[in-house]
Amino acid sequence: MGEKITFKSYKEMPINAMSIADMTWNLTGSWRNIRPYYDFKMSPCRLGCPAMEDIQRYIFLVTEKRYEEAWGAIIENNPMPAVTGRVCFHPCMDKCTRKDFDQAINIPAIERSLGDMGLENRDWMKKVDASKKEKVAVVGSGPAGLSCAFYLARMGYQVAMFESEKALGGILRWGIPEYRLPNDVVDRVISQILGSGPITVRAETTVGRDIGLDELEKEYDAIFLGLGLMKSRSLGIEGEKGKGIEPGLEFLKKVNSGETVSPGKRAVVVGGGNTAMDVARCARRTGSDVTVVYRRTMNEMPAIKDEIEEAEKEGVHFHFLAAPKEVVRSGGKLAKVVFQEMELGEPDESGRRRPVPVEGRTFELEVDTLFTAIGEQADLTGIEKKVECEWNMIKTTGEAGETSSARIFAGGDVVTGAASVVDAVAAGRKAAGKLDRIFTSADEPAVEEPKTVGIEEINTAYFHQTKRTLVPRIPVEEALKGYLEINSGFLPEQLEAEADRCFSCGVCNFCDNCWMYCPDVAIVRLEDSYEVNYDFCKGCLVCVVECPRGCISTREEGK
Amino acid sequence: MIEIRTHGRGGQGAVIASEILADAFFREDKFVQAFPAFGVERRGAPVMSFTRISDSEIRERCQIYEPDHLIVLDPILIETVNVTSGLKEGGWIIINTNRSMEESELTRKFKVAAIDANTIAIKYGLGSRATPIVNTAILGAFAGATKLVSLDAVLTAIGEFVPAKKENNRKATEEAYNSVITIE
Amino acid sequence: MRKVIMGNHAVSYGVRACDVKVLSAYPITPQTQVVELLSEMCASGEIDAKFIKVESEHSAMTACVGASAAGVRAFTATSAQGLLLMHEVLHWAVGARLPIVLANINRAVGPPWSIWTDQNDSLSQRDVGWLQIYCESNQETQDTIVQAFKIAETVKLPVMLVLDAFFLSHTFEIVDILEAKDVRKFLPPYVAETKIDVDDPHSFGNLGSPSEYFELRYMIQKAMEEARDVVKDVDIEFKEHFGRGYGVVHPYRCDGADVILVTSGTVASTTRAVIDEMRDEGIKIGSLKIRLFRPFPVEEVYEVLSKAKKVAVIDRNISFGHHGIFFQEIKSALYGRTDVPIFGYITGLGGRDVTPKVIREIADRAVSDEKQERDINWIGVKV
Repeated sequence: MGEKITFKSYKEMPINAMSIADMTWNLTGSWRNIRPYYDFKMSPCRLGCPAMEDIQRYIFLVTEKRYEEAWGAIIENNPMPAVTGRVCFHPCMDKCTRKDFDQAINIPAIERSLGDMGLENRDWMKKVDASKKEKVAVVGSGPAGLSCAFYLARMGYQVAMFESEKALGGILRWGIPEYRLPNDVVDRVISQILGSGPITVRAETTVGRDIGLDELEKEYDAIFLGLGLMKSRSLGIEGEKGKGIEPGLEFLKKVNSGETVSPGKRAVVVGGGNTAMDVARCARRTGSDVTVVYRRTMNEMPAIKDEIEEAEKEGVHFHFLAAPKEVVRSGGKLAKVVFQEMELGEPDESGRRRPVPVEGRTFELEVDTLFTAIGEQADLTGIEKKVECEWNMIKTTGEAGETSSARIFAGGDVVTGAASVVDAVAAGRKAAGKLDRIFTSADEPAVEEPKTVGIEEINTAYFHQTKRTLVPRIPVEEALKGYLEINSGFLPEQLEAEADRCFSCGVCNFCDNCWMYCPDVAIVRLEDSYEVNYDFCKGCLVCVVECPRGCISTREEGK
Repeated sequence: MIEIRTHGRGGQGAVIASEILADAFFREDKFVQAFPAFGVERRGAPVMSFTRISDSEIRERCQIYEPDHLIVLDPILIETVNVTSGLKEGGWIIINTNRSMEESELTRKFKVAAIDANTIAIKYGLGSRATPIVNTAILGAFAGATKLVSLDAVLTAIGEFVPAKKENNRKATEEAYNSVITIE
Repeated sequence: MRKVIMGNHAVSYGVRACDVKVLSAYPITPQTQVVELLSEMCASGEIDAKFIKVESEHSAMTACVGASAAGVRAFTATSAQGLLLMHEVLHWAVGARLPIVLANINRAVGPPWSIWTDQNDSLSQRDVGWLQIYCESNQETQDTIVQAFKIAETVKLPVMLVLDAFFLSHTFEIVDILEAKDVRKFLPPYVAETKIDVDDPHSFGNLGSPSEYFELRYMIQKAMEEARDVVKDVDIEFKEHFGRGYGVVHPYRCDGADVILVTSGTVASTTRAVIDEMRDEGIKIGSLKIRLFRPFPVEEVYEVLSKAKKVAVIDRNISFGHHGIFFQEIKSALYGRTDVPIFGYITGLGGRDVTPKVIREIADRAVSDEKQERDINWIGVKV
């Protein structure tokens, strides 16, 4: 540390105003009455993600072109970014701070790019060997089951997956049309997960029918039930059983299996969820004139907004505030369906306004095929007697999917009812984490309320307004010709451009502003972080102001 | 000390002429000084420049008001400017003209040397028909008439000062040196 | 090599011989051919220097400050309003103790716009701390550029060389041209004691508190005082090398002179012709040219003038509200040491020709004037 110099004569001085020693003797930190400190928050997008993907981090790593690490950052929370990047309803974007500045970041497109890179670069997934003695049975190979199996395997547990179908994937394989999620992607994702650790598969084995839960309990230390909802709910109207009326899920399964389907000239899809949209759009691809009939209005439709828009673009008609009332057959064939007009009444327990029939008002549509897509149900045969169920779903007692039976966990749609892939992924991972804590008798992690930043904490002077980078899509005419994937994914330069838009809310991305602007050179730049040298920090808070992303908090001295 | 004043119009090369002249005398081991009458140069405007020649150091640093000799690059100037102002009796007037000076008033008090420098300049492609650059020709005439400086010294100075068409300038100077008409 | 060249180019040739590394200039009026020729020399490789073309004289001086602070020789030239625009940075060059050399062509300051000579532009920089040397011939101009770098680097102060517009700047005369190889023996390559250096970082021009500023200014004055001797020594050394010397003042026929005319610039030269003429007439008169204006050569001036009976100061400048500036300087230099009466004459402002006749008028008045005039004596003004 330098010493203070006091000149006794001009002869000791340089002839011009020139520094001749450092000023480190002057510990200006003692002048400080407020203290800045690095305080990284949680980005709001991450909080918005059901799987808690570390979105800010992987986007930051993309900006650094550190793609393998970026992919790894997703995999910590979601083993199938190639899937969720395509089909997720992306609640993260609703939380994106950038939407208060110009437009939210196109997070799913970035996620998909990384997911696809992870499939291309097979060496990115490092295989884990069995290192623990515990064995877990995972029942169902949809997103919940795959996720649970994956994270258990990552921790060295031995996993046996049970699937009643010949091929794995559940809803991913049977319920989502190829133009949104190609079978090839599903195959590669599953193969990557299965190859990642000690996972064995028993396909064409229906737990509850072919093998009882009791038997599994004997053989395995725990069981995870990710059965999904694979049965379409019935309409409950006269003449529902019979020709011309087809459950939506079965139709989708045929389509995804490559079977020839012919819904006829006029198809009607009853329902307003994603299955309804998928069915309608698949039916359009056979050349049918398709109308979606939904008992509420567009606003209440549970389907992903993008899917509704795409369906409209593809020529699907919508008829709101109506429900099928009666089926009219002629010559053994479906001829007409009578619909009851509805209106919106009081809100129900879901908060949406309940549809109520308008007395005496009906109309008819000529229909060749009527698809039911008003919801799906679980097949709980052989399960109900072992774990407590309610409303045809498995009842859970805790966040991690604990059930009435001590070593049986459940997650995904079979617990929540129809939800999303990312919810199922989250459920599978939580169950895996909990099982690990049970097996290792570990304590529950302390839960802290995460701090986030909003647009007020962003120094927007550092950003230019730009538009969201849109993903290239094939034209509608092309799309309607078959099941080619519509969304063709970011080009490399689009990926970079979109990643560059990220504010990195509340999380340092090493932009160096604090280090550059500190007038007292009191910010120390370390390998992959900064620290404040409080010997010299005068508490001017320039760093706080100039941090574009609100990573530095303050605290008054002496308090 | 010899003091020479040069009159011309912007573009004819009067200023350079006075400088070449100084340089020519310098080559004959004289002390010299040359400078323009300071103005904002415009093409066509009347301009003056000055040359002092001496056997000893020249100390006067001001314009020349009573010249020993005159060089006039444009005969029209005689009508518009009082070019002979202060000219010492018996001094030379070297004038660019295509007319005979035999009958001129000027011959009464001064020695006159006439040269059709325009024609010579045009002949050797110096300047344009509208604005012939006559400075080298008139210096040839000056040397030929006054014999104050040798043709060789003038030619050497021209070689030093003139940036282009050195050979043609040389020829124009020689032709003027040989064809100057003097009225003493 | 002897050559007939103009005064502006005498400056350029002086610079050419000095291993200058940075030349910076604003190239438009009131700029002169000084930098025109230098830029050609740079382009042709005759000078190994960086020519920095800038958008104003302020920037030109700033570029010189930067270059000089980085430890190389830097030069610029300007005139009139251009010099005034540099004013702030002129101070900086002094405070930073940078040995920059500047050639100022004395031009009158507008309005009205003028391109003709007087000394008010340079004299209004009197107090900034630059040395000022006034030249009267092309030879002296070229030689003084070379001396200026040596002086500047010795005392670590910038030097301004001053020459009259047109009467010197555009006048062609014979100059014995200096060559770099010869000058190098007199002026070795510049090695800065302190400079901006990434390998030895220091801050320059930082804040100076009242506990240091005073001393730094004291040191500038000390350097100025030292410069009085340095200018003389460098001139003597120059003479040893090249056979020409100029002194800090130049007395002419002052021995036994009753009246001494004090002059500067080209007027000094013309005056000597007048002195000879008057001496021939038996009038005991001499002249004293002030070559070094800052630092003011008080002792040399006293030495010469204290022996006269009358002193007449010719000023081609005026400090409005007081008097001619050389007049004030002479009075202040002699104050309390002699009671020789001092007369002040102002003439030649804005390029008005100062002919032998004008000088003779001043001299005649100086000879005959009995009472010391407190008022300004205007010579040649149309009243």
